[in-house]
Amino acid sequence: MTPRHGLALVSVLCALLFVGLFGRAIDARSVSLAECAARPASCEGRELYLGFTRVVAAEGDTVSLRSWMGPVQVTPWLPDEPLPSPGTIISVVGYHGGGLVVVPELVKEHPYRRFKEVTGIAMLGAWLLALGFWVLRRWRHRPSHA
Amino acid sequence: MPDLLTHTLLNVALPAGRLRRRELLVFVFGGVLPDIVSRVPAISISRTIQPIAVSQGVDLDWVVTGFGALHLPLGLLFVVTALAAGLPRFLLDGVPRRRLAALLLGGGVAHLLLDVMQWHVRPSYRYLFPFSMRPLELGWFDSDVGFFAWPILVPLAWWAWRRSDP
Repeated sequence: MTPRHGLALVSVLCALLFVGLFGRAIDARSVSLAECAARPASCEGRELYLGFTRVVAAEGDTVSLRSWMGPVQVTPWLPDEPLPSPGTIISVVGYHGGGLVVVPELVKEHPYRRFKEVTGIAMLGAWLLALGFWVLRRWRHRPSHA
Repeated sequence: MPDLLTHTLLNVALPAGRLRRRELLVFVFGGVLPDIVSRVPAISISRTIQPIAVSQGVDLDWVVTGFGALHLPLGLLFVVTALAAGLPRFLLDGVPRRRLAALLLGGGVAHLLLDVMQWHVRPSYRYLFPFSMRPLELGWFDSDVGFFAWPILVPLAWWAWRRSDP
């Protein structure tokens, strides 16, 4: 192994270690709704964040969301915020109200989320295609083929 | 985060024709690198493996959030060093490795600088990790509306692309 390959390997290992450290550090500072649903007493009153979650229904002062953890109730809805329509994507900052209930303090609707997702996937696809073609082209023109 | 097209257009425009096109493409790729190495694995895991893991009682939250580390200055430095040192020679296309690293890093830093200007409902970019866990965000524009800049960025990027030497 050359020093250059060693440097590449060490960098990859450092990146993976950094991913682990960062993930554990964030995990230690926050609670997930899944943990709170399993042990409501230990989470009640702790801050929760639900990012980019789809509204399933909105009635009275309760908004039902669908997340990968299952159905979530956001209640009581903030009086100065209009009730979101079903299908809307929202983010909620609030605190745990027991079980799968979040008491909101701040909410934000993301009306352009779908557009961002579509353009994001299109751009990612374009980048990966371009990279693939470029690697293939460089491979065909590599010096040993000259 | 602003979308990848906004980052791409901005990084094409930023050098204003001072880079050769081959180098410009590396700089532009550096500009999408933080999202590619952090968001793509995180979203992939959260939509495929994580729901299965949760049903088996395995916690993968820390892995999903952990990939955010590659969207931080130090994480980006590791990724760029790995790429610049590890890429096989035939992929370098005549660009020296140190130059490649500088261009990728420059493009990535431009990405992080644009991201730090945003406003999120809950600030989450902890750029100073591992020295501090404090999120940094300037809150100059809503993270959802980066694409409003496309009408300005498209002609700017076109002008910069035409100015750069082939």
